[in-house]
Amino acid sequence: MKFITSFTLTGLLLCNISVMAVQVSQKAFIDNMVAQHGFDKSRLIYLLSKAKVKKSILKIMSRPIGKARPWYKYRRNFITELHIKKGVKFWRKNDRVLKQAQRTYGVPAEIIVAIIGVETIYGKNKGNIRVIDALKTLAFNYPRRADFFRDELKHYLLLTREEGLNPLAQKGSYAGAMGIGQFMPSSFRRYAVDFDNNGKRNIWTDNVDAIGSVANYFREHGWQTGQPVIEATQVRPNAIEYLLALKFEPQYPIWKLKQKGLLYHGNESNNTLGLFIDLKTEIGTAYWLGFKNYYVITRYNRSKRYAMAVYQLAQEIANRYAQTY
Amino acid sequence: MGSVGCTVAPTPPPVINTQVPSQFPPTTSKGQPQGIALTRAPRERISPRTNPTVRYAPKKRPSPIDSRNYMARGVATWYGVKAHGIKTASGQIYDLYGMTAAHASLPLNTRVRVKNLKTGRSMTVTINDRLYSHTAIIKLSYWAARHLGLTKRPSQKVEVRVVR
Repeated sequence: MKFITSFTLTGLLLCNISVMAVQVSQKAFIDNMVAQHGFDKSRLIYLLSKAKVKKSILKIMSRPIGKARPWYKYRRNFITELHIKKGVKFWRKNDRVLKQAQRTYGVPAEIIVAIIGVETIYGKNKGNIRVIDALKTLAFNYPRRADFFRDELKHYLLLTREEGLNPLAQKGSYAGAMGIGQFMPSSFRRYAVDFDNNGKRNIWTDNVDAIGSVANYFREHGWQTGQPVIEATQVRPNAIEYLLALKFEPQYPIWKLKQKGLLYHGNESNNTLGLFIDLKTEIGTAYWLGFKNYYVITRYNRSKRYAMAVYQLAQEIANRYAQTY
Repeated sequence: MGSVGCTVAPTPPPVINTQVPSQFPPTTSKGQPQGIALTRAPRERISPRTNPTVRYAPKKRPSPIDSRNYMARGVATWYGVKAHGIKTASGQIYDLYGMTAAHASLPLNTRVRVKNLKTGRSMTVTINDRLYSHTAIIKLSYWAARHLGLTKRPSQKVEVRVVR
């Protein structure tokens, strides 16, 4: 009993301290926005007071990372009949726009379709949390990545001002990712495009703008049209350790990797830059050689499993699309 | 034939002439060249490559017209993770998540519908490799085999039809 009371007491104390810290950092944030971007102070105070701190978001974010889900389990969530079927449907519906995006930005249609499929199942799971709630919660109550989310909150306030949107009305994921392509506010400001030329960058309900924005994001991150994304490779068992210790960046020419024990049989020139990838399958670990385009997919979400899922879903959708025409 | 002989031994012609018998290449009673066409396929290998010096002749080799109506029932096997990344006979790299298969005789890039005769489940795969086997008629990529529900056992009966 005694233990419990003392525990709750310290809990309250900690709570008070953190509340104070939140108020301090929020005040600093508002002052900064007023000084640097010319916002109205009372308006900002009003907006932030209307935003709620969501405990559920903090709960999700503080989940122990533990053992990462192996690739073969991760894959089951994204490469499903539903994703493929809806992907083909989405492709047919937006065929003209996807072709135009392919021409303008050089990003293949299936990759755009797969990204939108993995992110929101073609607009089905766009997230139902107010962006301002999510960003306020994470910017001031989640110290581990507070800087990042404070920056996103800044971009969010700027973008709603630029686009003439109501900051209290926009919805997104629990981390503040918005719309069909799940753009973070900073990405929206840098990469979103008005692809149907109607004067608005609407990535929430306008498939055309969402498609153009995803394609532009890829082009800006250096998508190489017509180049390979990823290829299976064999590897000498004694080289695995060395290859896995390499950086996760396509900065190693194939000749160098081959020297170190990679047994790659592809036709790419020996100077092509690649990176080594291992993923756990049901029947053992398999190895791939990723190229620049694979790395570009990881810019959308920093995960080798994510990029692989996008690529494989793209293949499946392209296959089905070709078969059922 | 002459061109094949040349690729086998690109040494100066006079040396070859002294080594080979008077009748080269040696022929069977039917007039087919020996040593070029193997009557017996070698044992199944993990890494079959196209070898320009040896031409494998499976017993039944459907002509292009035949292959359009090709249908066969037999045992299917599948590639494991060890084969992931090998070069197939078509030059493509085998990926365990690909929808591909190896076949003894059908032209490369032929698309075939494979049906699991036990469950009735079927799917389309592309032939991109050569198969050297006395027991199996087709060797599926891991994901194709898994999709058909074949991976719980080493081999199972399937039906193969060419998709037109």
